[in-house]
Amino acid sequence: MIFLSQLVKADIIDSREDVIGCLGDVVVNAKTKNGEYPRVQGLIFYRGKEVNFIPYTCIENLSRAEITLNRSNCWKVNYEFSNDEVLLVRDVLDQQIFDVEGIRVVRVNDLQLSKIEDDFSVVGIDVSNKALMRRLGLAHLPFIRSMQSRFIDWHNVNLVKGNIGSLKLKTPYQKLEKLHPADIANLIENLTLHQSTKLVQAFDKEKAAEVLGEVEPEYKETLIDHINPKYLAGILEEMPTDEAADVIQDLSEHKRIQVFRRLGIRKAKTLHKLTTYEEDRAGGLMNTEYLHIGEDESVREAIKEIRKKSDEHRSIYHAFVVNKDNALIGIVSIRTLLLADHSEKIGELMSKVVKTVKISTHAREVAKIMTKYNLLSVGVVDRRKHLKGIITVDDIMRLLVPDA
Amino acid sequence: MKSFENEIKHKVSPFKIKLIMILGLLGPGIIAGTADNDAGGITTYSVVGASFGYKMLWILLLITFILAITQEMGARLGLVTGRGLAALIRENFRLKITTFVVAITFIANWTNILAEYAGISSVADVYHVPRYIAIPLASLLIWWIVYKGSFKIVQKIFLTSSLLFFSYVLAGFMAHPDWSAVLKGTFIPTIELTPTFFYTAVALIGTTITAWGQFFVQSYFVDKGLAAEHLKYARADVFVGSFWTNFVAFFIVIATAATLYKNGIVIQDAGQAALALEPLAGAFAKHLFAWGLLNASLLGLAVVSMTSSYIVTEAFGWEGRVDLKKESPSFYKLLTFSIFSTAAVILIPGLPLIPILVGSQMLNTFVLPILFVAILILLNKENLMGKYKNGPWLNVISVLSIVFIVGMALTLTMLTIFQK
Repeated sequence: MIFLSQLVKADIIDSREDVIGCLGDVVVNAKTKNGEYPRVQGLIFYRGKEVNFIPYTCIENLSRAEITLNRSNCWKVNYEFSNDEVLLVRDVLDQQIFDVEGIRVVRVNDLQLSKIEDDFSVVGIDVSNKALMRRLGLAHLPFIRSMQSRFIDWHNVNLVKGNIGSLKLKTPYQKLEKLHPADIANLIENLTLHQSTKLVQAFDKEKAAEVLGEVEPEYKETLIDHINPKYLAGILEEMPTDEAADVIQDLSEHKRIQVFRRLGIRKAKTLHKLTTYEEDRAGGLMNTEYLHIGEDESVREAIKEIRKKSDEHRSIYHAFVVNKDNALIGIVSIRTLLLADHSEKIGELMSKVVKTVKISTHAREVAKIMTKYNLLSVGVVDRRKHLKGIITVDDIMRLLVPDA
Repeated sequence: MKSFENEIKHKVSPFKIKLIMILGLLGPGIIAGTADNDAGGITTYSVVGASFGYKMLWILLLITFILAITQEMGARLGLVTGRGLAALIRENFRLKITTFVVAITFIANWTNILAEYAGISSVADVYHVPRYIAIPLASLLIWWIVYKGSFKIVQKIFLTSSLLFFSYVLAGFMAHPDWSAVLKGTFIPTIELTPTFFYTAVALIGTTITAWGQFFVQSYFVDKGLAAEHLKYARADVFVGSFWTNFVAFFIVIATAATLYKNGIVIQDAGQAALALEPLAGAFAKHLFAWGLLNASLLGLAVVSMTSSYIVTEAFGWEGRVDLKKESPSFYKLLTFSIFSTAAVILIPGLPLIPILVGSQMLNTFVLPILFVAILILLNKENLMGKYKNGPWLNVISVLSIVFIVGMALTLTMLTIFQK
């Protein structure tokens, strides 16, 4: 095992025992198969403005004292790097990275290289202060020797800077994709606005919508104002209407107009309507996308409907039963549907005692009703009992525990 | 469709949008400018006026331009890269250089904080409050505000209290200066080849253009999340801020020049200036001066200690796992150290405050060229700045500014050596 900082500036000696330069950078191939570490492709040394590349096959020995080559004259002058090649000093050392396992943003103080079979590979990143001290030449001091190193496995590392050199990567935040949106949101809160805007916009819109839904309200307000209107409109299309309405509400008026122009007219109208409701009333909390079925439908038809529309809804606890005038007449739990005979009619299965709230009901009151009757979702109706939207338990949770 | 769009559109007029943008953006430069007039600043300006009359006003005019240029560069760096200065230095220079720059800035800041306390003690002296009560009280107050209150609250306090600086403008008019002499001093350069002149001039530069101010203004623009396309507003902001800083400084110099210098009264700090003003310009002038100084000192104490802690945590990646409303533990450790170690030092009995105060500004002047060379290198990086990198003219002006600062500092060093 060897540290990058120990290699940098080491003399490079060719087979004729001539010192040809000192090590400037180490090139690895970042595109790896599952579970493998990026292999060292070669070394770089600089001569004036010349960038010279020594392929790995020319290297006889790689150690902290000196680097010996098995040939003379085996380097390429002004080498052009391919898209997958990362320069460890230029691109990684001293930069910020996401630690995907620890869910935090840290700075790379050193890199750890290791010989695996015949190849040298980057295996981890040292983020400890001990690494800083080592690079400052203070490693021999007694109190520093007793300091702990802190390594992050390369597999859990993603560069914060989405590009390498001047190259833009296709999937710059690949390793973040597997994280829970709430964890990504946590990472985002640790970045500067510039960085977090870039990060959000690098995700596909569905993911971005999920992540934004988890960002703390105070930061979200600033963040969305920096996302470009076109992309934001796309995110809003993916969001549940209640969350989208909240986002719209937080926008500056100028930005709001820009976003509305880019939204589909129907979505824009719904959102505009929702933003007129008070935020702490049922109207401001509710989601206008809910699962509704007719009383004459059979269980089979209902289940088919649910299957078809399931990805439009974040969670489905109940199906709301409406009559031809869209008035709410009953409710069926998913459990009931699962257990029922497929040919049964919804109208016979549904429970007709339905607790509802009005658009103007205060959020606290909604929480009380849902707690009292153990409801996972409650319908919001207007004066004529027409179903306008639903409030689910997670909307209420967010309200009660805003800091989570 | 049409009516719907009108419905949202009619609510906002283009003028209002512009106004919102300007109000929202005017800030970082002005706040940095306001905080720039801290205890060290006000003391130095008072001493400048009392000892040299209007003779140094031309230097003040010159450094107004230099300040505007350097602040613009900081703003541009922040806007284009979206990163703080400490992070940029770490990412673009060797670790040893980063450590060196951060270390000297931290030390200069530390002495700056000492200077803030010296300012608080002189106000305490004016009102006969024992130093041993005033200093601990001030340090606890500021620590508590920063710890509990977050940056936003501190920012609001700044903006409100910056109005207090008008008191100096008022004091300047109340002193009935000789305006033709003021004009002459502003536009016709005069130099005295004495150590005291250069000693004071170097302190004047160091208190106006500060290392911490450079970090502060850039971070502030980054935190606001402004992008490169807002550069026009940011420029307006830093220019107004630079002008405002030195506008206040100008009137402090005038106030003390028209009263103390004219009557041959020698002062050593701003507290004495306040006391000396009383018989010449009335009790009101004394209070204005004293309260302005107190506000400046407390403000400086908060801003410099916070900036100092930010610089170190950012450069060394000690941001840790930061909660949105809280900074990292390292930040608070550094903050606590900065605020309380300086308070302890200032309470050492018989400690000469004036040399500390002016000395801290001088140390700052020596740190400046090093920092500006780093900033210039960053601003000339194509891969970092793209089309926003420094043009040739700006480079020439920047280099000239650095040469001017280095020249002043070196002349002082030479004069001091040859005198002994």
